[in-house]
Amino acid sequence: MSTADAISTSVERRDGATVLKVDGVVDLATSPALEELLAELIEERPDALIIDLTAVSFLASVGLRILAETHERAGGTGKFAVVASGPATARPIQLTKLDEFLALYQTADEALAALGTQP
Amino acid sequence: MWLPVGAAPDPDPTAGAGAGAQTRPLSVLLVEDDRGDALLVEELVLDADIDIRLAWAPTMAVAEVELAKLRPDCILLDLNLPDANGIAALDRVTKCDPTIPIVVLTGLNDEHFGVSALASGAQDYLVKGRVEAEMLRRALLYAIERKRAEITSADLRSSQLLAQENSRLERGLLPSPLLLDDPGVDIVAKYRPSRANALLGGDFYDFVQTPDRTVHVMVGDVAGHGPDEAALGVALRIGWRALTFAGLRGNERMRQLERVLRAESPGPRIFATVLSIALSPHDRSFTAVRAGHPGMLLHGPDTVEWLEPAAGPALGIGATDWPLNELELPAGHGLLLLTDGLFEGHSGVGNERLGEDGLLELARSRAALTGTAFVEALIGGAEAMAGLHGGLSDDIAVVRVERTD
Repeated sequence: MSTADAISTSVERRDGATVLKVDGVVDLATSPALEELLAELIEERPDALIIDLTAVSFLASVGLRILAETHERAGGTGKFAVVASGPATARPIQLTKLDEFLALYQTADEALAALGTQP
Repeated sequence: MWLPVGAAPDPDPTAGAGAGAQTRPLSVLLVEDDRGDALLVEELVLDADIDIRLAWAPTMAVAEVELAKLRPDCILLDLNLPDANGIAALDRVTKCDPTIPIVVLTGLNDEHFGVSALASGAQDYLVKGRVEAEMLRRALLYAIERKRAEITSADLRSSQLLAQENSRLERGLLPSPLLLDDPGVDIVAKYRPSRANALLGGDFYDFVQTPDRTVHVMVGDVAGHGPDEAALGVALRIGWRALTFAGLRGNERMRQLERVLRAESPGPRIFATVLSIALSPHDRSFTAVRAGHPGMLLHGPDTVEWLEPAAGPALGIGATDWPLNELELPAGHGLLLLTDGLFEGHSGVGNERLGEDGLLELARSRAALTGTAFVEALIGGAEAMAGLHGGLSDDIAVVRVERTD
């Protein structure tokens, strides 16, 4: 496994919302760690959970599955949003029509504003 | 605690293969509560023509502490300990490390214990008072070899079972075609598993011809890898085939597949993508229903285009409607149905992927090829581009269909 296949994440909590930023490749190798982290974040019962995929360079189908799962576990639209703008992430989401179920935004600020957690 | 008890002063190279091959001292843990018996064993070890480091544990508790620190080559175990008795003593040692060979020591009057110890996993037994140095040496070496053979064959067996399981699932994912005589179509189907040692994938395909001579072709992909996903792929493929023969089409068939997926899913959220097409027996028209699946390639003489009919969501996320598309397949054109493994592979040194545009470019450069050659060139091309990353990490299913009339 090359170093290019690594994933890194950072969590930011503001105004009751949790923003998870993901950087790198989301595939079979990296998804278990991401899944685990998301489960922990959901446990905290934030008012809103936002997953920011702006820096993700590859999103495999297993990643889409995690988004669908998180959408359901976090309480659906209004509680969970996805930030995806580049072709690497927006294309597979659009291809599987997950965009019909997920709240999708261009930036984290947009998502925060839409979920009404900005003061 | 490990005392060098005896070193053969001048190991005789003709003393037997076992002893001759011995290059480092053999470590043996003696578990024996009787000090006198322990001394007897120590003397036997000194007399044996072999370099043995003997450690002594007078109770099972001490033996367990020793085994947590070191792994001896063999254990000599008395079955009458103050804190463990009979087969229970054997079980406690095995629990510490099931891979260490065990030779059991029994008294003159309880030799039957030795026999039942063999049935419970010990490699050999010796009767105290009837043991000679040479017998001890052979029993130890023999026990070590027997245990090694046992472990090797168990490993072999489990890897064979895994391989059998994988190939069984793979067979389930791939159909035996059900076409009528003179079906009016040429179909080439290829399944390429992900690189060696990778997990079984969840790509599947099928094609059948119903009595009205309509040819139905489908490819699908369960998100994720592993036996659960592969088994679900099999369920969906068989489900699709059964629903198709039962006369269900378009939306109704997708709804039922969604139900199959939900009923058969091992986890909370598994989703799958499916593309299903039906070629009319009367004219050049065909219908396509897409559930979150990539488009197909329309392959004409010297041309290739992406064909992306309107799609509905992937299966497993609760959708109920999928658009039914009516399309035309021009004369001399083939349709290539594929899974995302064909364009999601690496295509360079960094993290670039082939992508849908890259696949189109590759396909156009091979457009002059026909049928099987075209399909193989695409898979081979994608594979070659992923070469720097050790090959394709995802499995691929490709089905190319073309009318013959």
